[in-house]
Amino acid sequence: MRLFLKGLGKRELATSFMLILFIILFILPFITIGLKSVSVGWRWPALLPNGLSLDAWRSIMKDPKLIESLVTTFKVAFLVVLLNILLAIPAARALSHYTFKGKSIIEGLLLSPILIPGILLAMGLQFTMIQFGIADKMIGVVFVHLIPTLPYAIRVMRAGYERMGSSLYEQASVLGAGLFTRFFTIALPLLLPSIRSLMLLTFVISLGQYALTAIIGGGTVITLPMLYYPYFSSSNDAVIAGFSILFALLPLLFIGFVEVMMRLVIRAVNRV
Amino acid sequence: MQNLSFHLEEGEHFTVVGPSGCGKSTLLRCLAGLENLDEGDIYLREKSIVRLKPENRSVVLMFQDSLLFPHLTVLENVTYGLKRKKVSKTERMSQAERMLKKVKLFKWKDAFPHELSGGQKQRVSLARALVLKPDLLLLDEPFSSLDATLRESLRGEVKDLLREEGITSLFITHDRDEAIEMGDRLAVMLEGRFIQIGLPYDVVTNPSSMESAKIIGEGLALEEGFIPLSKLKAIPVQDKPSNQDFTFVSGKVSAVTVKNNIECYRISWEQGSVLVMSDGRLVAGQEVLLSAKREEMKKYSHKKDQWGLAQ
Repeated sequence: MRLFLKGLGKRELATSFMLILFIILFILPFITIGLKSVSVGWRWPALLPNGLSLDAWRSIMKDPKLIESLVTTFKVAFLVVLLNILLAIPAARALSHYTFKGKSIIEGLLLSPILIPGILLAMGLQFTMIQFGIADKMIGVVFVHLIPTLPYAIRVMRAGYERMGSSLYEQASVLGAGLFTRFFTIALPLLLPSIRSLMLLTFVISLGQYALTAIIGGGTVITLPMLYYPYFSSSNDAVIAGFSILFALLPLLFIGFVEVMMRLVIRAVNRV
Repeated sequence: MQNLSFHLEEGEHFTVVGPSGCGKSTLLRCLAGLENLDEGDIYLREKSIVRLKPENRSVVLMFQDSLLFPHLTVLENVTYGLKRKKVSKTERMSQAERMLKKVKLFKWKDAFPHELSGGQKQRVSLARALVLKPDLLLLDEPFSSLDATLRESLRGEVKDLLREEGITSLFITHDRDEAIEMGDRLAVMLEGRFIQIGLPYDVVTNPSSMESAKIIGEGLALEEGFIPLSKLKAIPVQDKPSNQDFTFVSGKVSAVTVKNNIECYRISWEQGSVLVMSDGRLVAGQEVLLSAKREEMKKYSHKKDQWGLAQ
């Protein structure tokens, strides 16, 4: 061991250390949760379960609301992501490229949902949504999910716009590009990394919303957290572990979808 | 900018020189349509363009930083404007390749901007502007970020290319040598207005005012007049003649340097510094007198043309 360590340089040692840390922090919990979901009678301080069984997974798959909740979760998350893109991009551009009266106040307002507890805002919004007839409906849940997601979306896009600067836009305009052409040929390709981060971040935040969905959805909009969180009050750890894996797979699926979308966008942009 | 009026002939190369912050870049941005005029008009080929958006003007601005699009190759950068004009793909490629050959970067056509040096980026930027054959090309200190040797070589290349292509251009700089070399006519700008316009040699050797002399004149700008550099001598203080026919200004040798392979003294005086030819007698740090015959001093002309512009 000592000989092995002696043969490694500082860089190799640092890389090995980072790899071990990564495995402990990210891979090991997955393996543990996965094993837990197929375990029978696994209690502390046992290192391994007493037995293996697929009963927890059968129980999850048998739940009649599973498919409905998955579909609703995806629908809500997709709409939240789309609305965030449509709202955050122009807001971020205005905040990064323009100076105007009241800019700091608007900045504060747009970022305030991060500082104010979401439940407080949701309780207030519930009355408004009832009056507009969108409480207890999916569209109401989509709007309320904007509260915790939009401030982050604007911050991510603003950083992207500030990195890009406004000079490239000006250069494109003197070369004959109009407003939309400038956006599709210059801004969009350069902002794709920020848009990718926005999509993943808002998807994950929307995915995890329980309280806001419960308040505005009123129990009629069933997303995966609505189905999953009540299991925490039960003692069936294997079922909880199974749901956790399902939960973790959704963002991974979404990453795949985002990558496909990015490639299609790049192809479309190259044609403009 | 204040009360700025001037005209350019087709094919002319017009240079504007002035200190930083005097309004040179603002002038270019207004001509390009990136900033609005409070008053006045801009005519191109006798048509007003002041209400046209930048993308609809036949005016191209080449910025100080090359501003190449980082996600596009060199060839894609050069064809960008042609694509906006709906030029066919074959024609786009042909024109872009011709222009890249002219700027000697054809073999870099598939490279990305981050793979190029500063000088190469500026040449691609120039190719991208010229390929559009604009009615007016604006150059905003395009060489300011380059080192001295590269600046000199690129200056000559750009000037030749502009003449070959027959492009009317407006070039702005704060560098005196660049101002003299690049233009057919030269304007001196201060605080948002032109204080003198004329042929480069005339402006440099016969500044119309002390302000103009300080910005562009090659020599000493004094209250009573201008002493051209060619008439100036640097002498040790103890050699001051009693002859009243001479005028003197106190200074100090800040450095002994070489310009165009000739040894010179950089003499610092109250209002700046000048380069005077060396006679081998002085050393750095020595107190000196800048002297010239009174009859060599040129009085400021204060001549103005029909638009009230100093000539």
